[in-house]
Amino acid sequence: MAARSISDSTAALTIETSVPFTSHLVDPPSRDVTTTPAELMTFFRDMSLMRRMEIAADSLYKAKLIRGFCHLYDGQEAVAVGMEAAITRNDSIITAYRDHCTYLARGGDLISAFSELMGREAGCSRGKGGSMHFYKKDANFYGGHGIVGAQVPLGCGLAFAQKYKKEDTATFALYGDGAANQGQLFEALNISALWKLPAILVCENNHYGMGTAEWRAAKSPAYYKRGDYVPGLKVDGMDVLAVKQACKFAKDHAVANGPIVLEMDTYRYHGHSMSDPGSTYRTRDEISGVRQERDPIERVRKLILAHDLATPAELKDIEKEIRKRVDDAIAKAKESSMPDTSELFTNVYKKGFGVEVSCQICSN
Amino acid sequence: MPALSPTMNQGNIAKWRKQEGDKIEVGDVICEIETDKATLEFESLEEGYLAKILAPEGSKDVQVGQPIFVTVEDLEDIKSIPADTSFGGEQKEEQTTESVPQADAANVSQQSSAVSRISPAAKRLIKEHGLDMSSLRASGPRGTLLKGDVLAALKSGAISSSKEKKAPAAPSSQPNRDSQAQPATTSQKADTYEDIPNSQIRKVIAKRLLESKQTTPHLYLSKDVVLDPLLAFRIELKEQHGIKVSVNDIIIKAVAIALRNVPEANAYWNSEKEESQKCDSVDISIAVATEKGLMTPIIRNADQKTISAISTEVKQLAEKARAGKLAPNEFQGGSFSISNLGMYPVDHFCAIINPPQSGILAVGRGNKVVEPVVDSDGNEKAAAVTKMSLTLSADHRVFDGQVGGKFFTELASNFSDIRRLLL
Repeated sequence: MAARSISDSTAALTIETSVPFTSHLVDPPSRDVTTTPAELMTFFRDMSLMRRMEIAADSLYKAKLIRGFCHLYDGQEAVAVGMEAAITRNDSIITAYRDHCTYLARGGDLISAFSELMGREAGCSRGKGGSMHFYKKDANFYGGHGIVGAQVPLGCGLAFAQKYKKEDTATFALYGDGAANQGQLFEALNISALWKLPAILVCENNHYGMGTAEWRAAKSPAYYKRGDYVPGLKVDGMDVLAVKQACKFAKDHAVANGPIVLEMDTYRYHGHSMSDPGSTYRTRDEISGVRQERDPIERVRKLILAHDLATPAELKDIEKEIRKRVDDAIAKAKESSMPDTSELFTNVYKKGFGVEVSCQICSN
Repeated sequence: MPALSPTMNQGNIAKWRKQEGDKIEVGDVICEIETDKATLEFESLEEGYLAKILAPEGSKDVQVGQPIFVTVEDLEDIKSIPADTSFGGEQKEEQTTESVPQADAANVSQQSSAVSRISPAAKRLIKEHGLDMSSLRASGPRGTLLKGDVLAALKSGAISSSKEKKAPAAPSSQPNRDSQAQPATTSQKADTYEDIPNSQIRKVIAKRLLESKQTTPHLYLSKDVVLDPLLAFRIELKEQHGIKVSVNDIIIKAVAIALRNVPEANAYWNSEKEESQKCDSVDISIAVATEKGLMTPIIRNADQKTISAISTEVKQLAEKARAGKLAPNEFQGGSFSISNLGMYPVDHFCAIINPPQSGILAVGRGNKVVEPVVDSDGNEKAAAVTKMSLTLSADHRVFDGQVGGKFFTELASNFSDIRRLLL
């Protein structure tokens, strides 16, 4: 056995981000990020878990156990993990439909995630939401939204509530490069700026809408500048430490001065959804190029090995263990049953104000 | 086999991009799969080595969920895979029974180790002669069994073939005529099928149908007639006069009267004289389904008989037809035919003319529809009426537009005012 175990020390480590931050109307934060070995190991574990979950979801979808829509996040894990590392569970996150990993980052567990994907009762939305409607209110994760760009005004509303309640917390409203051109974002940003709400608009720029490249969709693809009078910051979304630094900076800014726009330069390996092969609007070489040069998990792996925090074999063992965890969770999730037919009428009206079905009527 | 689209149930392996022993990286394309919609590339999300290909290139109709290849993490593990890991012959048989029995291209099993795929021409020959697959040798590229291979094998006579002639399946492209003719029950389990020899009658029917369709220029005229007056009349006969007749009997009378009033329609084409010859009497052939095939007993002078007489005669003739006891004069001749599929959920169909006649009327099912109807006050209201489709298939040499139009005018007015049957 090795002389030392995997490092879980909390001694400070300073690591430089891959690229410096580019900013708009504000001084960018430093390139040097403080972290600890334990935190790096957590990053590795969390991102690997997310990656495995998405790959397993792909297989489940192809086996027709997951139906309907399924938008996968593999490649973008650093955004979810880095953001979570910079904030607390009292801060709110709201995002669009590419939400499986955000749910996990906010404290969701694998079994309820897979159950929800397969439409079972044990799911986080009782099997009634599916892939696009994950939710975790107790962790201040407000979903999971299907309409493009609808979540951003909602996010500004959450920020308003936080300011109203004097909580000193912030809301991160995430959206994609496709949604960045939606009008309601600018309306919400305007009022947030006027009222100095702690709203952070985070554009997860994976460079393709569904299949439309950003340069064909936006006249100005510099999404961090689109806030105009609102400051912005461009971040390498594949570098988890850069994301952490930027989110910390953004939260401090938002609570003190009002809204700020973050642009995460990231990439998705899968197509837009499971119906999209993902290779008709971009070349396979581009995808494999990003996989080799910028993969977030590989970056952290290199850091861990460079700082001698674990051996390659130990990292492989962690991956194997994660694989087993995912397989077990899937097996457990498959055991859960489909929702009862009476659930058709629940969660539509406040209890007592709408149609309900008594248990004798609904027989299975 | 992955479901690459939500509607996919099975796929074909179009091409293998990786071979056994190749390293697979994440994102590499392993094979191209042909789905119901398009040919898509199947990417790998794991890394490893391709150990064994279970479904070779060209495998067709592989069900979603069936294993098509095996990967291993380490190169050495490839050797430990048993060499006879196969695609599963039993599963192949299940697939072939599930395939549409009427499909002419039999899903011949590809389990034979000598061939990896079979050309369509070869498949047909094998099916026709009932050959034993395992004794055929493939000489085509990538182990394809070619037509030449099968022909060579047949010539050398070294194959055991089933000598029964395969029964041609009931013409599946003609849903009209042989309505009652049972579809030849050729159930296809890989390489075993049952031949049902065609009766002489069916052979003749088949020949005549083809001849008729090919040599007679068919003209089709159709109308949806309102059936309510006829139905009301029938009910009145039953309840007030105790006379039971069927809708078909009344239709026969209506058609007969129309033919009498339009004698040009009651004719046949004389090909020697090259002119239309009127028939002396209105003799209507009725299509009756029997076990042996479709028979057409004739109601002679139908225009002169009463409806009850027609009804009785139809019953008698149908009985005789089913028993096979029709006298030749009872089914030979006739000037016009009626085929009624109204007892089936057939709304509308086009029949094939019975030569040497020049017309056949196809009667569909009466369906309730809502139509604007002018009521007694002269107002247009929505009312539910029963409509029945009549389609006349006519010999265009006898029926031109004018004759057809006249005949249809007569026929339609017979339906709208039942009292015309008294004229």
